[in-house]
Amino acid sequence: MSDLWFKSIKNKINSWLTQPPSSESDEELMPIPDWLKEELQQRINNSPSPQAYQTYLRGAIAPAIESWKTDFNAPNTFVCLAPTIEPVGTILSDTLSSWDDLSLTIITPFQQFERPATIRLTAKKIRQALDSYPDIKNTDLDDLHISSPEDFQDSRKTVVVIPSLEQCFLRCISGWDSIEYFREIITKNNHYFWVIGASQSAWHFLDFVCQISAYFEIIESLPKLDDEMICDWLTPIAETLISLDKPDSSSNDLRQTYWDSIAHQSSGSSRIAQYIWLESLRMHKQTEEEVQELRTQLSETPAKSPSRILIHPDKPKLPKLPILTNLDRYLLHGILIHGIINRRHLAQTLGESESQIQARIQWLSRQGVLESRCGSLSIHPLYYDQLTVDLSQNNFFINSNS
Amino acid sequence: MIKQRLVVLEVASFGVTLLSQSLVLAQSEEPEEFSEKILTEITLGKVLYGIFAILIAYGSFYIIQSLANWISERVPRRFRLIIKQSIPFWKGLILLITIAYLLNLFVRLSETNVVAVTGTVAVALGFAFKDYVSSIIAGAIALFEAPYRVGDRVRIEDHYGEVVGYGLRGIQVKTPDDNLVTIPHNKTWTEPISNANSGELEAQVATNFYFSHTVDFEKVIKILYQAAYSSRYTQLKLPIAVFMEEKFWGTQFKLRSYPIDARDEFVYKTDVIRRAKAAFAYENISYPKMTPPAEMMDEH
Repeated sequence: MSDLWFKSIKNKINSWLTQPPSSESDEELMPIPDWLKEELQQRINNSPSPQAYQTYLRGAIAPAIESWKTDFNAPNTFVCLAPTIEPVGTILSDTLSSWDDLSLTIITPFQQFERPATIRLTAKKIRQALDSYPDIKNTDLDDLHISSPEDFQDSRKTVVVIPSLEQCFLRCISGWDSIEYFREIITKNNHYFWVIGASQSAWHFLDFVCQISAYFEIIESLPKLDDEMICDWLTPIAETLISLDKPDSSSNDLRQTYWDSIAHQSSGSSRIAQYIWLESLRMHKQTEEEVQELRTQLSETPAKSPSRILIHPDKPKLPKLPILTNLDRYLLHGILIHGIINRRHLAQTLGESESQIQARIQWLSRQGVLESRCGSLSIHPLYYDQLTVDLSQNNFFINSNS
Repeated sequence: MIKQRLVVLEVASFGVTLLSQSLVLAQSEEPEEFSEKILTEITLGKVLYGIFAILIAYGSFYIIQSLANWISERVPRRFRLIIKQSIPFWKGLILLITIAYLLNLFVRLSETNVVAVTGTVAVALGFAFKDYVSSIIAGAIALFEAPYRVGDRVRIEDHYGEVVGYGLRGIQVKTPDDNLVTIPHNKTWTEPISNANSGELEAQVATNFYFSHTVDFEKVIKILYQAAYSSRYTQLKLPIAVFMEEKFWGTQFKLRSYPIDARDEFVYKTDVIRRAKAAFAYENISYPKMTPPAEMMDEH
């Protein structure tokens, strides 16, 4: 709790002290138009996740798999924990797609897995997802015995990826029976290596209700990205569309601290960093017609053309979290645990009717605290850090690593 | 908080010493000489100053109570009780300053006079306002012993609720029915005081469930644990436990758990019961059908 408190104070001080001056005065600049922001956002989302994440995970997963292949009693799981807002499934998928051990087969039966409408059917849905792989034993688990050590190395060639464990349970009665079922499958199928992605909040909750950490030996958290990592990740993507006004590295240009400030305020999270960065971009003041002309020009101009728009960095800062009611906090805490959740399931986990929570969802969406995509709700990355601090100060259990 | 209490304790102990000495000294003085020596010259200005001081003190009481309540309901939960618990200290401080100012205004504060005045006042109060003084002293002692603090949920005699006010004579308890009950501090001398949270945000909530002797108790226990774990109000950092007890009419299950905020006690209980009953209905676990005993029918 105090960790979160100090972290938020540290970030505030850092944001005050960081004032990267643009080469232009503030009066001459305006925020970039929404269409340009969306275009940049789309390009970031379609790009691979930061190399720093992939390098770290490869370095952590490779020895675990190696050990599992050579030692019969070695753990057959690797758990990767990340803040709720990080797309841990995508990061794992990016990491494993470029895996250099060709003897390994990587399967993803849960790539598009979502909670079923009736939560009691989650275990059944998991079983159905595994039915395509007859080698994975998913029924009569109580009667099964772990395979014998004889010739075990020949059978250990497949890695199963569970991209986001939080999509496999709901905080309601019988809502995490599916997790216990998963646990059994993983334990009984030690001839498969299981790579599991989960949000820290979901894992923390599951630790309380079914002591999940006790069953998994190797649990790693995503590393925090520093200023260089964020810069190396975002700059090449941005430069496929725009030109960035860069600081002069040979002089004492204060804009050198720009990326450092983004790294601090994002707490090393790629998703928060990308949003802060997008919000900090400015361009020369233009009329509506000129902006429209730019849009047309940009769609016609080849990506590497020198006539691209020059974008200036402004002081990066997080928006202020609005004043929340107690119902808002319960609602947001529910979403924090489940990552992405639809209204029906959210109402079920809160023990309310949908109509009871609808008004607050609308208000929180309008304030920008909630993101709504295809009918599912999630926390907006820009508010994530402040929200975890607010919840911990209001006596909600929040993992200090969140 | 400890320093604040020590200051008040020193003042109180000094007062007690003076009281005992004053009884002796007050008797040795002639009444006329005593009044001439003890009182300063009373003028209209001084009277106005005195009235003004009392009004300021009264206003400060009101402002501090309102301000502390306003702030405490707007800060994060973890600071709510800290702010509320400081109200008696600030009120005590204002009271001490006002009394000292009035004494300085109307009384010649030599050592002898202080002893004489306190002695006289003590004798007068001892006979006329015995219970009132008893409550004031009990209130001062309660500041140190802390059987209740502002924000605590207490049961005193038949009254249960949250302590919302801490006055000179007594405390104000807001009941679940939204009634405000004033209970004098001197109840601490004679009555047991049950405090559910003792300065903490959480207070244990016990929820009872009743089934027949033949019920699948393993299933019931599992559902009760899950009902508590899944409730949005539950403080998971604190223990959750289910206890069973055999009665002649059936089996009683008691779920003990803690809400995040003790104020949510009743809504929490409702949420847990709702969840559990839905699960019992799904599992076809029915409640025993029986006529409640007469004493239970009388309960409200």
